[in-house]
Amino acid sequence: MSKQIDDIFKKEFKDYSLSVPDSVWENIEQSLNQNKKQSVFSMYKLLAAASILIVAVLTLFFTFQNTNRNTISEKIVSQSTTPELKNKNKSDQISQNKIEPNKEIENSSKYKNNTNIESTKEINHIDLTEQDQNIVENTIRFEKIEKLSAKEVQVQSNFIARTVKLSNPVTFPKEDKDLIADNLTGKKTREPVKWIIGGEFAPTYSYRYLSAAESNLEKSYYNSVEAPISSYSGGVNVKIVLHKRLSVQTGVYYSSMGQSINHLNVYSNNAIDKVDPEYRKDFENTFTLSNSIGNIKFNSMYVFVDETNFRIDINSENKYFFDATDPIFNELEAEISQNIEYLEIPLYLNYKFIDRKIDLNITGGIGANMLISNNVYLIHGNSKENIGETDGVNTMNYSGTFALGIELPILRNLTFNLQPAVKYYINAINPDSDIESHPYSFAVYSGFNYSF
Amino acid sequence: MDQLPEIIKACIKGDRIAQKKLYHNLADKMYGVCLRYAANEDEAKDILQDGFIKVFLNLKQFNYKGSFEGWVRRIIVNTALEKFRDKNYLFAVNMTQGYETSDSEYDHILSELSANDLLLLIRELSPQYQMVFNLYAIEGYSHKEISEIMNIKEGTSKSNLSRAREILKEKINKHYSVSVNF
Repeated sequence: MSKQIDDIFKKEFKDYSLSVPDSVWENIEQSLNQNKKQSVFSMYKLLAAASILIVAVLTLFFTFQNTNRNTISEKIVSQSTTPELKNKNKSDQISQNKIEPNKEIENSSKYKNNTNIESTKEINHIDLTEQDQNIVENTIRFEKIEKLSAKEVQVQSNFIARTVKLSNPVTFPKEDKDLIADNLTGKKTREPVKWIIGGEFAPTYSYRYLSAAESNLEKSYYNSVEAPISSYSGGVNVKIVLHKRLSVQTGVYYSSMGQSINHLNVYSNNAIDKVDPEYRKDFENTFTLSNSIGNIKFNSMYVFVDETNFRIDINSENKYFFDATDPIFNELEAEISQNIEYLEIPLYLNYKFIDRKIDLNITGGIGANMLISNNVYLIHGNSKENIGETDGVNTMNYSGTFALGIELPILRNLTFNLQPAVKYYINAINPDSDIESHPYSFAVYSGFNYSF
Repeated sequence: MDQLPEIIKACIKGDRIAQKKLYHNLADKMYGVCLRYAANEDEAKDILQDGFIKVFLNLKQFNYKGSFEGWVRRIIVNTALEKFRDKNYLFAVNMTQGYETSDSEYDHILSELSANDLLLLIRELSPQYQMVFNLYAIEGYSHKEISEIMNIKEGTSKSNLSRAREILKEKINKHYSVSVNF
């Protein structure tokens, strides 16, 4: 029974055709004309994408150069919002199409009288032996149809009025089915490679995991005097879509990692003020402060005193004196931030596990992280002074990243992404240190993707 | 279609007369396909228009292995499918099992219905049922294939099909005053 329903529909529709209004060809012609213009426009799109990349890389570069860290996100985000104008043309065409049916309404009443004649013909060719019964049923049928809404009657009349071309009953060729089957099984070898380019930015929570410490005591000591820092990361990425759900991603990402060092008081070195300016350099302090990432070599006018009396190694040649009762900053007034900045070249795989209007995806992979900056800052109020660097950190590190993302469409080819991500450094970043320190970060990236 | 390869080559070069010829050879038949997938004539014209633009833009990729009509038809069906996805319909779907009934009177009515009547019926289905029924019953896709292209489970495709058939039967009953015992 069910199969019979299918067969009836299949038989009627196999070679069903209906004359198309001329407006459709006119629209197609118009689109084909515009497509020629668009191929020129697509060059501009390519240039726009290239400029996003260049501007983003330059932005990162200059950010590192002058350690002015405020503007990176705005640049990346603003460069990503390339406008998309494609849809406008389409809506114009749709509105043109909608004018067409008015003409047909006028004709519908004209054709109404023909309805019974045509339908009788249908009955005749279907089954002559049961002619009487068919005519009765057919009359009932069309009485019902007349009771349908005005719209349905109009549509019906139009169809009857038009020439219904029932050409020779050609069965659906086997080659076509094979072709369709090939298409369905994903053999879309002829489809052009899809590229996606994007920029994103994230506020980051960064700290480190201490592993294989020789002594747990030392490890817990460092955990008590060090703390996570807030920083940021961002960059540009390029994705190549391998499959409708799977893509491979690379790019250039900047990230700032590190920790904050606590329980230190800062004193001004009174010796500096007493000597001739040209000798001041000799009075710069060269303390070494040990911490979980490595040893910080201070190079500053300040004198640092460790409240825990454990971390600072004073060079005997230092010439300094200070008023122990009068720190210029105590531990609550200033923060010592140990920052290590990297440029990452990632190799990630991205899988869309929900591929709808709003996509959800998971991303995972590894990254090569080049050390681009290694500084320790004394941050007090709005000012930030460079007071030294961490000794012996690796210049190349490898990290693993895992992220979950949500992708929202904005324009046809432009999407907004929100992606919480966790990154962990697989290798200990300082081979010289007794303690193996693996920085990690939690970041929530937001940005834009543009697909070609 | 005479000298199809020549016409296709001319179309690839951008010969507008050849493009028009190619279009007119297939447009009426493809419009018939579009009408089955669309909710109304405007939408059908839209699918036809977008589908043919794709045909012309991708003509280089036709490898002359299968029939050209089949290739165009596939693009049209894919375009209809994209339109369906764009609409992002969220219709509640009843997971009713199908049933088998045999009724000679009912078969009779079915065999009398013209393509126009059937078209009206098919359009009254929800978009997802309409899509599944078209792909399975008329295009001849399997449930597995439908599940892949529509991004639904195979079981959903099956239940949608049987529900679509059920609705079609009900509509025929209602419209044509035929009482059928299910």
